[in-house]
Amino acid sequence: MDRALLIVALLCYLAPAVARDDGRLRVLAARWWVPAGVLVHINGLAMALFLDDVPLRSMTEGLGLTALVLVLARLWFGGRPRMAALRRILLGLSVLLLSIAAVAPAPGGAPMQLSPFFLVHIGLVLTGFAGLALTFSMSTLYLVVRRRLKAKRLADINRLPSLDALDSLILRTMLFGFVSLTAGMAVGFAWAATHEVQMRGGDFTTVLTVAVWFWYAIGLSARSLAGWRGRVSAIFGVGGFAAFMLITTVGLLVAGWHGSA
Amino acid sequence: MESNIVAVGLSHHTAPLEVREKLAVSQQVVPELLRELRGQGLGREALLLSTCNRVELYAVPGRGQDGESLAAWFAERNGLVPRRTLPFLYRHQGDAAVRHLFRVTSSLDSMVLGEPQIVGQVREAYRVAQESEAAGPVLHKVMDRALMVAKRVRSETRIAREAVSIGRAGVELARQVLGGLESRAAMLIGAGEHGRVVARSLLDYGLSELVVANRTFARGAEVAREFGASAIPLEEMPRYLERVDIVLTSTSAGRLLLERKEIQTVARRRRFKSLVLIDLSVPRNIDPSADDLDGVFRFDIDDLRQVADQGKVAREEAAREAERIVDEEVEKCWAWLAQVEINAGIGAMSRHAEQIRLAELQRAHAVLDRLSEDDRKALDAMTKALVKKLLHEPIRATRQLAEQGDRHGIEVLLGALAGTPAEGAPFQVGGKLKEETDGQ
Repeated sequence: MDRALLIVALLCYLAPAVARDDGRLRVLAARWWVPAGVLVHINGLAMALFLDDVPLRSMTEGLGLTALVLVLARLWFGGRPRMAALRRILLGLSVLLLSIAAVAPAPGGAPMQLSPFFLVHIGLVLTGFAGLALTFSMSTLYLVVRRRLKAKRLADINRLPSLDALDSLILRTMLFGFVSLTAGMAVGFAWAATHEVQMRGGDFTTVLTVAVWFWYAIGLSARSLAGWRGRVSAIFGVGGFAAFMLITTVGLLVAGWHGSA
Repeated sequence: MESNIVAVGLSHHTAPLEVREKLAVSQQVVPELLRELRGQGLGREALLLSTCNRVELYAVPGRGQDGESLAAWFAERNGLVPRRTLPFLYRHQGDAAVRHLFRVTSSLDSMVLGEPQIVGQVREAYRVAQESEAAGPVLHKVMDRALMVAKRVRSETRIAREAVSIGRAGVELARQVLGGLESRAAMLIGAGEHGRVVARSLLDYGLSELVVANRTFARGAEVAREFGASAIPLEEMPRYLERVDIVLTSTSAGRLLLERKEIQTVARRRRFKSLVLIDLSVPRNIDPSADDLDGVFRFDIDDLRQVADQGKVAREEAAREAERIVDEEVEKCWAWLAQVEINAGIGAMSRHAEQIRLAELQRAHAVLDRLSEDDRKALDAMTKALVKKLLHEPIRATRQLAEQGDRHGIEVLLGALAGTPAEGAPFQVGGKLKEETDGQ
């Protein structure tokens, strides 16, 4: 993905936050700059898909795709007054991901062999990753709303989404992310078996992805079997993704995808 | 005065809850009271508005009646001692009564500015008055205008945008936790006023099931009937706690009815499903230490007020704009009522003149007994024309004074022309009582 385009998109997403005036400027920024950023973002992603030798193989592209999904979700919630806080969280998270993507190193080592299996694997895993990023956003907001209700800070509380609605969104996005991740992993393992690629026990990304898969598998099973929901479920969503992000960022900054396999 | 309108009542501004409770009127007995009032000749038209925050009577007094006699009747109901209740009552007459009604209907006099329930309550009171045949031309006109003013205030100002009543605040908090109320069940413990208000609002917002638990089962059953709910004895309350999503307490027990331990057990059995506890009692009935339990959200009356107060500044600004609309509409309505009065005054004056003409004609006939039928007809026509011509200028002058808004001038003119201020002929404009006028 072209870094210049990515930075332009990032600046567009930052516009609503920078426009301090709470009148026309902010409204204009939210109405026009974010959609404009999305167009630039899609353009950059498309260029990467068509021009790069191996699309989405770099951290920049992977995070760029995830950030795009988050901004699209932000636009999806656009007309709902109670979702203003969620929109801010989604936009903030996409700005964070894009910022990391902007400074991430270019992929090193020899290019991998291009295969449709490989593309589907990366696409599904990244979609799963984006779903879990959405879970993180919903979970964060859930904890904020719950905290305000418990602390009796109730002024304008009805401008925030209800806990029940957020809990339902947490479940749906977690399921979506988990299913995508599972499918992506299955395709990845199948691709590795077909191409006789040695999956070393120390492969950072593989180990991390499996760990994340187990984390969310536990969360979903506990919800189904033991009735885990609400705060517990939200902590699971926040904790899982935050740890994943931290480890991924540090690990990939050092090693790149699949330990520069 | 024929069409003078009077408002007598009390509200949260003038009377504490204990007094309001004593004077409160259930909807079932309103038709009977209206019949009684009219039967006793106290009012020709009447409407009774009874809500949790006010009890008010709007009436067109009968002959010889005024605000004081209506207030006395109002205060004596339910065997109350007038001496104790009269100090809490306000009386408004004429345009002041119209203004009060317009302000009440537009929720400018409500506990929470801009709350929407009052319009429905006024409309219901008007419907009952109509069905009881207690509403006449004056009340029809005034009530139509009042409902129209409320609509104007809601659509032309921001007063209703952020308005939240105590009932609605309870709904907002429950919905903030539970989302939609369509598949939710609630339990009301006690039969206190606030609890009933919140329960009513929850039902209005789609609550699917309500159970009422009360120390006195019969009272609980009565409240349950009011809501189309089911009643249970208070001893069975713990068993129902697991089944409901919202618990409302509104009792005068003065002690904790739900201890932390009990709530913790219920929360555990509900397996993380949220439970909303709304404690409307003072002293509280739900242990505040339950706040830190997972899945439990406890709110008390102060929390509801916090929600109800949101947007207060904006509403107060809007209220100033709404007052301007009310002033404008009161003037229009009062001009119409004054016109009705002027027409009635002119009618009385014409009847008085006709009585004089007929009496004089009769006297003339006794003297002029040899007049032919044609002569009699000519004399009759001549006297009629004479009276008509004599009255033409005063009537024109009256209408001119009405256009100029000189009510005192009209009163003096019509009073003088109508002869003695006997019953039927007296004229009062501007809502002044006969006694006040006489005293001048």
